[in-house]
Amino acid sequence: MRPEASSASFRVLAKSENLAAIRRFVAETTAALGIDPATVADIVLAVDEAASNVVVHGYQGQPGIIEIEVKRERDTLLICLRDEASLFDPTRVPAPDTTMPLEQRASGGLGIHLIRQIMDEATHRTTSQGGNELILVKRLEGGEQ
Amino acid sequence: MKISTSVTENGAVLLEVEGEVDAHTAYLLGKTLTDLLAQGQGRLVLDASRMEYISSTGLRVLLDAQREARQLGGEVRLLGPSAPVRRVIELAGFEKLLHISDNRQEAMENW
Repeated sequence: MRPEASSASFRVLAKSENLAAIRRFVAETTAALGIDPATVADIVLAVDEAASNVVVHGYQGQPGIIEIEVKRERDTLLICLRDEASLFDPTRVPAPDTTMPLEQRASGGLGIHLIRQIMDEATHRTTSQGGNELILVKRLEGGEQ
Repeated sequence: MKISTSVTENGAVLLEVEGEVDAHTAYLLGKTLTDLLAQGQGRLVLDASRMEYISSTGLRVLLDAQREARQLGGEVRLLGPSAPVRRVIELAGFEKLLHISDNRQEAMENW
């Protein structure tokens, strides 16, 4: 019998070479929580985009820690990314207009666009320590076990 | 990520990209493409059948290369992208920005 709530977390240096380890952690924990492979792949992408934002825009090459917590509460998957970088709210970045032709297409905003395509909610808040917390929510419809 | 580059019979460049293209590795792909474009090579076929993953950083690199390649009268063509790569292209809405082909011969010809 599956417990009502289960969680796992991973703390790592926020460096681009650690993004592969973050993806592996998210893939393994979400699969262990009973999520189907196609949804796992989407969620891995969403978290990678969020973590890449922390590395590139948050710490901007400065050393720092990123923590990723994966939690399932019944049919809701919550992924929290926490860091101590300067305040950066990716959810305020405007999404690109994907109907624009190549020449006029803006390069930025693609990461948050992908996060919004995959996750049901993305909320940013400032932690009590003054860092960032991004909460990604995915509702698991169809009673995946 | 591993990139193998070869010049084909008709002068196009075939790049075989293996592994994961993320915010860490996309730089190398970008540099390879930028170097080719700087040499005036705009006919670029990127074999993505063994590309296991791509994130927005990788897609941006391809988008930037596509702009440059079109200015040179060529284009970036993606050959046989793997299912996970295809999924990201679809989520990003990049199907119309990148020429995607599953046929090797078609990807190499008619520039």
